[in-house]
Amino acid sequence: MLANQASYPAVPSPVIWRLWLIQSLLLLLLAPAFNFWSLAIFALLLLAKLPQLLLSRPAWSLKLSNLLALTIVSALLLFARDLGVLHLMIHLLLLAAILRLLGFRQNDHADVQQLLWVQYFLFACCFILHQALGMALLVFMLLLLQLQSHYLAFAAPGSTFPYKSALKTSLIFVPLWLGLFLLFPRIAPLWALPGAKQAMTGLGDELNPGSIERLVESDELAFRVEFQSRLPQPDELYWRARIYDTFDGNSWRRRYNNDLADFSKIKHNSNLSFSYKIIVEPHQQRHLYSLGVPLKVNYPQRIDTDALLSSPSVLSQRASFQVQSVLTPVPDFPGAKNNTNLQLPPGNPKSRALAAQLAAEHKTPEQLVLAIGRYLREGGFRYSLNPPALSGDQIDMFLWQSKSGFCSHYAQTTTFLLRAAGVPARIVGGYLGGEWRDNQSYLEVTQRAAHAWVEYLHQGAWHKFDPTLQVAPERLFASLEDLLSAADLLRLEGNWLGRAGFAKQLLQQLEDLDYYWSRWVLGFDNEQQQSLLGSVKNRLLELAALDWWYYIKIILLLLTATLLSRLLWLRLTTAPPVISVWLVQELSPWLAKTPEQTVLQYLAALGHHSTLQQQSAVVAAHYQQLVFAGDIKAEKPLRAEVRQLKKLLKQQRR
Amino acid sequence: MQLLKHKLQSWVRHKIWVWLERRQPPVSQLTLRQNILYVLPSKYGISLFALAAILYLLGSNYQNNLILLLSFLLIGLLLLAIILAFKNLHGLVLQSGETTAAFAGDMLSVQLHLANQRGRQLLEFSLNGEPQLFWTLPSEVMLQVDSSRRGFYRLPRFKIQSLYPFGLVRCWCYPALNQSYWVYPNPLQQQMQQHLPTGDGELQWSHLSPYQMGDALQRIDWKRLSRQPSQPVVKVFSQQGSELHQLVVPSLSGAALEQALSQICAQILHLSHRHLPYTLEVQGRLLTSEQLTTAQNAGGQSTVQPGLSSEELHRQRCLEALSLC
Repeated sequence: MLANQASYPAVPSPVIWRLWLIQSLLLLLLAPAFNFWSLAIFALLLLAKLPQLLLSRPAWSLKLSNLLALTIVSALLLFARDLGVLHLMIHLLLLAAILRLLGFRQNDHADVQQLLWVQYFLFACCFILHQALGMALLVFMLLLLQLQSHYLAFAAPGSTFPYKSALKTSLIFVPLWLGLFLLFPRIAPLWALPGAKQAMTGLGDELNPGSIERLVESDELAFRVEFQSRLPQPDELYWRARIYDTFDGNSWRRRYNNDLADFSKIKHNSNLSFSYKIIVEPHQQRHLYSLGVPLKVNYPQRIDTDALLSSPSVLSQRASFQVQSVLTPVPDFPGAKNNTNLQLPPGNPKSRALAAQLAAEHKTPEQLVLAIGRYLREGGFRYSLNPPALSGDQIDMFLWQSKSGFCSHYAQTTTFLLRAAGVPARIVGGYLGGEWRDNQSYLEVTQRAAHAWVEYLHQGAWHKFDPTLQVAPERLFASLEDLLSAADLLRLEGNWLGRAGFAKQLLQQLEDLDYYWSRWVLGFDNEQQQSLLGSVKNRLLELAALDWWYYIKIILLLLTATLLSRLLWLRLTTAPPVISVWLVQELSPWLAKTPEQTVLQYLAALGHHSTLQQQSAVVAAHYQQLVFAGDIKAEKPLRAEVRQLKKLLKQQRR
Repeated sequence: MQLLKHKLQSWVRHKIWVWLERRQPPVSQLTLRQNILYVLPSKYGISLFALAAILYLLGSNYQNNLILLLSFLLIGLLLLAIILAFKNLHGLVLQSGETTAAFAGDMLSVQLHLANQRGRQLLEFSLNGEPQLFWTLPSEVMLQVDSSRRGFYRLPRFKIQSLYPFGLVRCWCYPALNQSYWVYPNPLQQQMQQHLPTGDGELQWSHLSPYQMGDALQRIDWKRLSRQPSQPVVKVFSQQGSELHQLVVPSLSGAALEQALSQICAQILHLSHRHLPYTLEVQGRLLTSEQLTTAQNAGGQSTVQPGLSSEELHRQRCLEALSLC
């Protein structure tokens, strides 16, 4: 029964303008996925549409479009393969859309259908690249334009977009849409998809003196945390991210660990357990952040034997996950090879001698660590963001010559000394502290909080030790800016904004808004859906438990409310009757007005009929004054006189 | 194989037609209601649904709620399109118009009256597979019908469909109206000269007589009417030298009958054009211009249109008799 496709009227040119505008803005939004020459080609192609739009030149032929498509696609495949699968897909989709627009046939509706289809897909690509609140709002605004052009392409030509009824329709549509979003069952990721390829940020694969300093210069957001349990103390906020355990004399390489572990059965003090939700900014790497030992994390994030969290794929967009952690030393896995944690390259003889001496004086690792701390504290070391460069035997040079450094210097020195003394040790890279926001409702951790500390093995568990605190104990409670000298501060980015009070406040409010956007919209997941459904169910159960009398009351309340609003509406919308109509209505019980009579004739007839000529003459005079002389002030006395006339008529009847 | 498919298709179509005839018999006025409107997604709607499904998978795999929002937006759009497409047709009132007639082979359109048609967009009326798209609906719609064979027909069941808005959903219905039309035989022009009187100058003015219902409007003496508006008067012509033409349909069948009917049809047209009197004998039944009223009752099917003179009425009755024979 599905007969031939209905013929449509030709697509009007305002729609084509809109499609062109949408594509241009899509190109701008998707620009991060392009390299400079592909961006230039696409921009030129879009400009090539302008002569068609402005000077009504004919559309390109299919042959030309196909030839161009072939050339550009092969160029992309040959020279832009390093862009990655996702970016190439975005290129191809946008190319298809632009070429279809260049060869657009107004009479063939298949063209506009395909074009709209591909553009909807490109909007999804925009959301892969942009999730921050501002950008997302921009994309949604553009989506409204797309919906409008979709409507106009399938409406009668010359018709305008019905904004009023669209607004009314959105009253149904928006709840339906959000309801689907909130209630439609979600599936877990089925397979890993190629992510957007961008430069890695955050902690790298290698740690050397200087890498943390570079990180700290940036004020960029790393992640945000909302605690469901009690808020942790400043000395508990050590966010573990990576472990560096291989030293080659210059830098520390990170440990690659693919063994998964389950810590959920370890005994712990409930006072030290925390549950929190982390929203991570994309850093194009796989590591995630957690406090202490993570017991539970939601799928597909995983926990390895080093008690570190990681994501199965590279993090190229904002992600959020729920963690439960306990602040105990990380249990050591017996299978793990601890000899790497004792490994040291040759060199640094003075440090080795120092380590041997300390080891001889202190038998247990705990005492040894304290001794190293004392050595650093009392040895005249300085905390600085801008220490002199180290070369050769780095550890020796630091301990006896420069004596000034940042957290990575202290961490690597301590680890070296511990290993040289025979205690397995490693460097942990992560973040320390963070800034409480919006009345302590969430913690914001920026790259400025990047930090490195030490873990040493003692009685089958890795204990935390932060040597930096021996030198700069204030680091725990104050932000980095407060600890640094003026010269160091100049190296930090974004400080100029912090100085202007008003701008800072506005910026913070925007950041708060962005946080809640991430928390509630981007971070809405299966678990929250379940809890939402649960609470709805509870409400319904509560309702069911109520007495039937309540229902009757509610129904009565609703009924009266609707009636009242209806009455109010009628009153507001129906205009009061014209004065002549009102007058005749008032007096009609005594004498009906015939259609050919004027109001004045009627009044005269009434006067004659009821022998109240005098009063009816007064009414007629006022009526004339109001209607013919246009004296608005006469309305009140007229009404009064009409009532008076009515009164007299009533008396007469008796 | 092709044949089998074709046969199956036509069988299914026939079954559906029979079912529709039982479910929705023809009426003279039809309001499009929920029980006769059908809604299904169009091809584009299905492709957009597929896109929504792809985006749902993409959003789930990227764990990107914004893509999921976009996917649900498309689903919502589809659901909304169902409601709006239904509303675009729902409540439209179709009324059958006047019975029309045409000669076989001529263009013949049947007029439908629409009510409650405002604000509806892009409705497509299709009859016999010939679509006609209306951007906005007028209050009258002309449907072109098949006029290749003479006869008296009922307007076949047609189709109204709309893909408005967004082109995602097709809403359609198959209305059937009690509306009929005549197809007269095709008048054959060739041998007219031999058979027919030339008739030029044969009409002569005879006298005036008071106007009676049914007199031809063009014979009213308009000059006198302006003087005496209450007493219209018609001019009477005497048809001197012209005998009554007696037309008889021969008892033939097949192509010969058609040929004869065509000739008689042409003769009737010619005679009535010259205002010459004629009678027609069809299958033993004699039609004359005098026994109009009685024949009217006997004929039954013929619809008398107001404003026709007795002469035009006679012509119409004769042509109808030819169509049916």
